[in-house]
Amino acid sequence: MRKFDDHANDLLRRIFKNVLLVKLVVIAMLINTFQAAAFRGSTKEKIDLKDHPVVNTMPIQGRVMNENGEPLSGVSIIEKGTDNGTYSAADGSFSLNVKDENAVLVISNVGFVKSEVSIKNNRTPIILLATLQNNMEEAVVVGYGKQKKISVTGAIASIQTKELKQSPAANLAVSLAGRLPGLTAIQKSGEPGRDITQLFIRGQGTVNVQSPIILVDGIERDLKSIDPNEVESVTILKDASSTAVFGVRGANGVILVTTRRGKSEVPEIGYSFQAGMQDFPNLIKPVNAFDYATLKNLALTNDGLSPAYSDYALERYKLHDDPLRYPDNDWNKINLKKYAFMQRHNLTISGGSKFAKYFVNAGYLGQGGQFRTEPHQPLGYDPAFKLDRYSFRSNIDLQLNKNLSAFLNVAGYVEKVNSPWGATGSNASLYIIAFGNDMPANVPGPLTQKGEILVGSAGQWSQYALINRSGYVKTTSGNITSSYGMEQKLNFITEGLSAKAMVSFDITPVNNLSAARGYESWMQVIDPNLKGADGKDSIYNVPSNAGVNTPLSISGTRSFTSLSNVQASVNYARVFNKHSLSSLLLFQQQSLIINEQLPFNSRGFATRWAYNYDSRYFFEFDAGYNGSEQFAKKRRYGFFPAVSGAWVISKEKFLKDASAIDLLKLRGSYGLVGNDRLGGQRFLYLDDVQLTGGGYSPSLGLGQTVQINLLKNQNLQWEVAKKTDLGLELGLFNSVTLSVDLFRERRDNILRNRGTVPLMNGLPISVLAPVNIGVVENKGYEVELDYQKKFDKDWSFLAKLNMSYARNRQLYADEPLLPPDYAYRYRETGYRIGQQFGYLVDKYFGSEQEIQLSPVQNVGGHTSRPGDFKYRDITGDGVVDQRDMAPILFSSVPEYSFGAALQASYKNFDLSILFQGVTNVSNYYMFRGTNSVSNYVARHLESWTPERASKGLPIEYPRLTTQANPNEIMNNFFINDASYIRLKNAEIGYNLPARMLSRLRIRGIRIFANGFNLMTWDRLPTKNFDPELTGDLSYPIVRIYNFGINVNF
Amino acid sequence: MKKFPIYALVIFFSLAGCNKKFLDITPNGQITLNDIFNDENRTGAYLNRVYGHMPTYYWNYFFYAFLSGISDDAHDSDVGNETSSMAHQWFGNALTPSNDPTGDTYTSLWAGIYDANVFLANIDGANVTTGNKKMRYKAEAQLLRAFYYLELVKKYGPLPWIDKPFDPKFDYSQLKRPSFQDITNNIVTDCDSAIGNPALPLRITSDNERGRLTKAAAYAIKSEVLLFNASPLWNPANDAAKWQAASNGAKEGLQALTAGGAFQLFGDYGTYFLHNSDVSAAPLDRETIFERPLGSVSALINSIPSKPGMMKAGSCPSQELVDSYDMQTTGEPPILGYQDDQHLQPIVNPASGYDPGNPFVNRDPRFYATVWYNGAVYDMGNGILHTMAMYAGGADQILQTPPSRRNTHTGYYLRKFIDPTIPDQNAQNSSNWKKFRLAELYLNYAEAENEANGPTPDVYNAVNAIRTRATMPNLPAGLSQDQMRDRIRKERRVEFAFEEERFWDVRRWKILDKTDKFVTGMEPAKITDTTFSFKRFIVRSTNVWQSKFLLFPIPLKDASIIPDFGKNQNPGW
Repeated sequence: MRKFDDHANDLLRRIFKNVLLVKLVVIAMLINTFQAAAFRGSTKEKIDLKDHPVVNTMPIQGRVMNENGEPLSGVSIIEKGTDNGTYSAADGSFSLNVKDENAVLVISNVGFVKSEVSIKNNRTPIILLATLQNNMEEAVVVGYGKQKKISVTGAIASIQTKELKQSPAANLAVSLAGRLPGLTAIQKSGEPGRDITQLFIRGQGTVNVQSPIILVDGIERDLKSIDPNEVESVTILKDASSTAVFGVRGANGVILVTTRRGKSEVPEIGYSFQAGMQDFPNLIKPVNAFDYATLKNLALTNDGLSPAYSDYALERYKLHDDPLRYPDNDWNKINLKKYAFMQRHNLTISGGSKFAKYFVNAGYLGQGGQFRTEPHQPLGYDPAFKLDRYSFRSNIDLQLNKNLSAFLNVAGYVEKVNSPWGATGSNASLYIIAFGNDMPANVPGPLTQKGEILVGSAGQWSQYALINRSGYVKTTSGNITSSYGMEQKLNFITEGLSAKAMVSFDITPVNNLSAARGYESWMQVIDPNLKGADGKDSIYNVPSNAGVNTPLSISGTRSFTSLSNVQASVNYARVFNKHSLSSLLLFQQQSLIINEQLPFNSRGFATRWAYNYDSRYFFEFDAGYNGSEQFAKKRRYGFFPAVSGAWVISKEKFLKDASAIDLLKLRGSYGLVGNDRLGGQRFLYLDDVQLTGGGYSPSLGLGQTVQINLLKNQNLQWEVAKKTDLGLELGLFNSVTLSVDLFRERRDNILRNRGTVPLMNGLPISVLAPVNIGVVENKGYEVELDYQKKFDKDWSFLAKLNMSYARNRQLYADEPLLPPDYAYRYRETGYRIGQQFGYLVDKYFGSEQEIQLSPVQNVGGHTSRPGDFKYRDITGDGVVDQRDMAPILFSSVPEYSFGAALQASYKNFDLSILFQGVTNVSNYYMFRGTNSVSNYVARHLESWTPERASKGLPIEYPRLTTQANPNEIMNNFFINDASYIRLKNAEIGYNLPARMLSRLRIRGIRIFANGFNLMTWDRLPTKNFDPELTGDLSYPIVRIYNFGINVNF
Repeated sequence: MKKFPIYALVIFFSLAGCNKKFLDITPNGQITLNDIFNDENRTGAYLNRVYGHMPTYYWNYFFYAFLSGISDDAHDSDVGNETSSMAHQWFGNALTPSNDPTGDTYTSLWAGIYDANVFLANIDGANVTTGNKKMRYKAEAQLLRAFYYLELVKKYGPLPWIDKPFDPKFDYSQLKRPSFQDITNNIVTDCDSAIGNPALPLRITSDNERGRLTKAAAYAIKSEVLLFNASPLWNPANDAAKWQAASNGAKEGLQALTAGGAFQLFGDYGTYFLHNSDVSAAPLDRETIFERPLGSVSALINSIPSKPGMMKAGSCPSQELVDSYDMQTTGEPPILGYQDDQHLQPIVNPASGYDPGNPFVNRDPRFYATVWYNGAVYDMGNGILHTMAMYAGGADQILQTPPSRRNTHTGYYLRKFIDPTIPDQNAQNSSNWKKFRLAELYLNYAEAENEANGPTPDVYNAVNAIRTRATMPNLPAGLSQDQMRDRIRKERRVEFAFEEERFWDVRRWKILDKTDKFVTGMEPAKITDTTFSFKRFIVRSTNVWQSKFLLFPIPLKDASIIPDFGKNQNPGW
C-alpha cells in the first residue's frame, strides 16, 4: 500500500504540475519516432535480440479450435511470463519457439475462456477453447478508451459487427433500431442517399438539439460515411459517468463507432456480394376514376353545388369503355416499378505481423430508386433516383518498438446521389410524391400520342413529367476522414504510464449539379359541341402551359466542410496486488468549418480515474472541462463531473459457491453533463443590429432603417443535465444475463425563448435572445435479457430481448398560464416535449337540429353541418373553441422501444430474426392519404352520408366537402397512435462445409438471404403510410429482400 | 538525431498554436444598439424604424381587402369564396383572443411604441448636430408614440402608458389598465408637446419627406382621441366636459390649420381620392393632413367584372350606405330609417324627392364618386362607354352563390379610389392612404360641439362647409340636437365612406347592434333596356354585432401574462 501511495502521488504531481506535460509527451514520442526511423533497417533484429537472448529454443507446433472442432484464427498464444508469443493462422495452427521446456502457453481470444496449457509433455498441443458466455473480461469501448466489461460502472450498451451485418439497409443508423436498449431510431425517408434517421438516446431531454453526438474512432463524424462491414462495434453511452468526459457536449448521450483493425498474422481476404430487391410496403393508394368521380360529386352535392360528373361519365368510368375520354389511370402502376435493385460489394483484407497490422476494406453500394424512368436514349440523361457509393478504409497499426506504436486510419467515400430535377431542383421526391398523390385517376395521360406530357387541366402537375422531363440533379459528395496517432509507453517515468496523441483531418466536399429543362405540357379538351365520325365528343389537345422543350440548363452549388481535431492524452494503468488503478487525462480541440461560416470551435479536457479493489469494488470519477465559441468569454468553459461505482456481489465469499450465479453486479452513477448545441442561431451573446435599405422615408438616415435581429444574452450558457443511473447485472447458469437500468435526468438551463414576456414588450420573441430557463425531467428504464445456450455440437440458440422506456416532462417552459376558463391551462408545462393538442371528437353530427342543440362549434369560423365532427365542450361553457383543446395521445418520439433478436444455428445453418417496435407515440396525419383535399383514398368511400348514418353502416370519415370545414384540423381523428411492431430483419445463412472448400484453398463460404422491414403491424387507420413517417411528402420507407454470398480466402 | 529538435518544434508549435483566442470568433459586420445613436445617419435610420410600424390601412387587409368590407358600409365578395380572407373569417366568428382576422396590430403598434421610447430615451444624447434636426426628430417620435397609442386604444381600449423602453428585468405583471381619460391625457400631452415644438413644420413641403408627421397631424391625432374619449363608448355618463374638450381640441386644430388658408377643403371630392397629394410649399391639395405612403396596387383588384382581366370585386357598397346619401336638390335624406330589423322596408322620406323606382337620380354627388350602380356609365378608356349592368345576366351581374369573388353580392361596386380611366389590367393605381384630412376636423368639431352645446351656428357652419364642397345644400335651420346628431352621423358616413371611419364610429357610438345585424343589397331586374325594378334583399345576417365586438380582445398571451389584462379583458372575451 505504501508503495502504491508513493507511485500515485508521484504520478498526480507529475500530471498536475503542468498541463504542458501533454506536449512534452508528444515530444517524447517524437524522439522515439525518430529513433525508430533512424534504426529502421535493424529494428527487427534489435528487438529480437533484446527479447530473446540467444538460448536454446524449443519449437512448438499446435492448433487452436473451438468446441466444435472448427479452427480459430487470430488467437493469441503467449509463453507465460514472457513477451514471446504469436497468433494462430487461418487453419488454427501456430508455431512458437519457447525458451523453457516447462513453459506454459497462455491462449486467449476475445469471446473465449482463457486457457493455459503446459507443453511439458506435448509439443504439438491441440487446444480447444470454450466459448465465454458472460464475458466480463471482454473489453468494451468507452469514451476515449476501453474498459473491461466487469469494470464498467456506467450505463452503456453495444453491438458487434455480426449483428449489424444482418441488416441490408443502406444506412448504418437504420440498422441500429431495436438493437441497443436506450436507443430509439426513427427513419424519416427511404430515398436513396437521403434516408435521414433520427436517433435519440433515452428519449428527449431538451427542446433544443436532442440528438446524441456520434464519434467514429474518437472523432465526431457522420454515420452515413460508414460501411457496416467496417464496423467492429457500436456502443452507446447513456449515463453521466460514461458521458461526463464529453463535458459540454455529452448530455444527449454518445454513440461510439469503432472500426475494425487487423489482428491475425495470416492475411484474411474476404469478399462479399449482396443483391437485393426493394419495394414500398406502404403506399398511398388513391381510388379509381369511378370512385373519384362519385366522391367528387358527393362532396359537391354536400356543399349544395351541382355535381361535376354526369351519369354518363360515371358509367364510362365504371365500364372503362371509352378510355380516351374517360381514363382510369393507376398512377402508382404507371410511375412506380415493382422492385428496385440494390447491390453491395465488399472486399476486406486484414492481417499483420508483429510490427504492422492492417485492415483494408473497399466497398461499393448501389441502390436504385422506385420511380420508373424513361430510357436514357431519347432523354440523353438519367433522371432515376439512385445512390452509388464507393468507399474504402485502411486502418494501419504499427508497433515501432517495444514502447512506441502508431496508427493511421484513412477512410473515404465518393457518393453519387441522383434524382430527377422535379419542381424546384431540390427535394425532388417531395413534389413528385405530392403531385403524384394529388392526381386523380381520371386524369388522362401521362403522354400524348406524340409523346409529350398530357394533363387534365391547366396548371396540373404531372408526376410523370416531374420524374422524366424536368431534368436531373446529381449530388456528388466526397469524404475523407483521416486520423494519425501515436502511443508511447512511459515506463521510464513510472510503470503503467503511457501517452497518446492523435490528429485528425476530415473533409467533405459536396457538389450539386442541377440540370433543369423546360418541357411541353398539353391539356386534353373534350368538346361536346364537335362530334367525331363515331358520334362521340371530339378530343383534341391544347397547350396547358407556355412550356417548350428545352435542352438541359446546368447550374450548381457546392459546399465544403472540414473538421480538424487534436487529442493528446496521458494514461496510467497499473495493478498493485488487489488494487487496480487507471486514469486518463486528455486534451482535445476541434475546429469545424462549414462553407463560409465562421468556424465552430471547441476545446477542453477530459479525465477519468478508476480504481477497483479485487475486481469487487469499483469506483470511478469522470469529468470534462470544455467550452465552445458559442458563449461569451466569461462563461465559456464548464466543468462536468460524475462519480460512479459498482459492487460485484458475485465475487463475495457468500456468493462464490452459488454455482448458478455467474454474475451479480450493482452499479450506480451520478453526475453532470452539458449540451451546448442550442439550435441554429449562433453568437447569441452578441447584439445583431444592422442597417438596411427600404426605410419609411428617404429623408431619414439616407433612407435606411435599423434592423434589430438580436439583442444579446451575455449570460448564455449550456444546458446542464443532472443524471442518475442505477444498474443491476445478473448472470445465471452461464446462459442467462439480465441487465436492468433505472435512470433519471433533470435538464436545467434549457435555452428557451421567453414565453412570459408579453407581446407589448415591443420586440419580437426572435429578437429577445433566448435564456437558459427551461427545465425538463426525463426518467425511465431499460431491461435487457439475453439467453444463450448451446444444446449440443449442432444446436445453439440465442435470444436478446430489450425494452426501454423514457418519459419526459417539461417542468418549466416559461409559458404563460392560460386564463382559468381554459380546460388545459398549459400547452407545454407539465407535458412531454412535443405533446400534441387538439379537439376531442364526440361523434358525427346527425342533423341540423342536433347542431342547434349542441354547443356552438367555434373551431375556426366554419359552420358545422350534419356529418361534421361534434367536438367536445370540455369547459361546459356552451361553446367549443380553443378553450376546449386537450392533450391528445403522445408526441412523435416514442416512449417505449423494444427489440427482440433471436438466433438459432444448426450445423451449418443459421437463422436470425429481429423484431423491433415502439409504442407511446403518435403523429398528426392530416394530409395526402388521409384527408380529402386533393384526392380520395379508400377511407373516403365510407364517409358520412345521411344514408350511411341511417343504415348504421361504418363511417370512416366525416362529410366530404370542397370547402373549408371544421373537420380537417388538429383533433383526435387525425392524431393517431403510431405504435408498431416490425419484423425488421430476418436472415438465414448456410456455411459450406469446410472439407469441401479446403481443396479450393477457400476458408469459408457463406450464402445467405435476409430482409429488412419484412412485416409491420401497426394501429394506423389506413395502410397508406409507414408508421415511422410523419408526413405525406417523404419518400416511403422501403422493404428489402436481399441475397448474398461471403467468401473468405 | 540532429533533425529531431526541428521536427519536434514543428509539432510543439502546432499544438501550442491553439492559442487563447481559439474560441474568440468575433463576427464581423454587426453593430450594437449603442452604435446607433452616436451617428447622425443611423439615428435618422432609427427614426425610420419607428415610422416603420405605421399601419398600412387601405387595401392591405388580408389579400387586397378594405376594412370597410366588414363594416355596414359594404360587403366583401370574398365572403363564401375565399375562406381565409378577412371578411370570411370575420363573419365566421374567427375573432378570438388568439386570432385577429384584421391583422395583429396589437403587436406592431406596441413595437412602434417601444421603438419611439428607445428613440426618445436616446435622442437627447444622440450625435445629431445638423440644424434643428434633433428637435424635429424628437417631436416626430413623440407624435408617433401618440399616434400608435391612439390606434391601439381605439381597437383594444385603454392600455398602460409606457414612456420608457422596457428594461429586460421589467416586471410586466404589475401593469394595470388605466382609464380612457388617463390615456387620452397622455396622448394629448404628447401632441401638445409636438405642437409646441418650433422645429416641427405645419406641413410637409418636399416630396422627399412625404409621409412624415407634422403639426397638422398632431392636431388631427389630438382631436380624434378627444372625440373618442367623449363618445358614448368611453363616456357612458355623457359628461359634457369631455365633449367640450373634444370640441375645443377640434376647433383649435381647425383654427391653426385654416389660418391664412394654409389648409382648406379640396375643390373636387370626386377626383380627390384618385391621386396622391401634391407636396410643395403651396400645394393644390391643401386638404390632406397626413398621407401614409404606400406602393401602388394593381387595378385588377376591387374592380368590376366588365373590365378585362379583373380579379375580384372586393368590398361592394351596401344598400345602407347608398340609402345614406341625401337628395341633391332638397338636401333631404331619402330614407329616414327602416320599419323592420332586417332593413328590407325603408321609411321613405316623401319630402326628399326620392323615387324608389328610380333610386339613383339626383343624389349627393359623393354617391356618384363612391358607388358604381346599375346604369352608371364608365369610359373603358378606348372611347367605348360601358353601362354598368348588375341585373341577372348583365356584364356586372350580382352573383351571390359561390364560387364567384368577381361579382358583387350587393348590387353595387366600389368606385372611390379606383380610377375609372385606368383601362388596362396591368395598370396600377398609385395611391397613398389619406389617413387624416381636413374634413375630419370639421366633422369632429361639429359632432363634439353639438353634443356639448347643441346645434349652434358653429355646428351648422362646420357641417355646411363639408356639404358645400360636395355641392350639397346647407342643412335646414331649426334642427334639434338629436336631429343634428343624426345628420352629422350621416354626413360622416357618406363623406368618409370606405375611409375606415365607419368601422370605428359605430363602435364609439355603441350602435353596432343597430347597424351590423343585417346588411342588405338591392337587385335590379331588367324590365326594358332602360327601366328596372329593384328588390331589396339580405346580403348577410351575422352575430358580429354583439357588444363584445365593440372592442377587440386583448391577445391571449398578454391576457395570460399580465394578471390585470386577464382580469380586465375586454367584455365578452
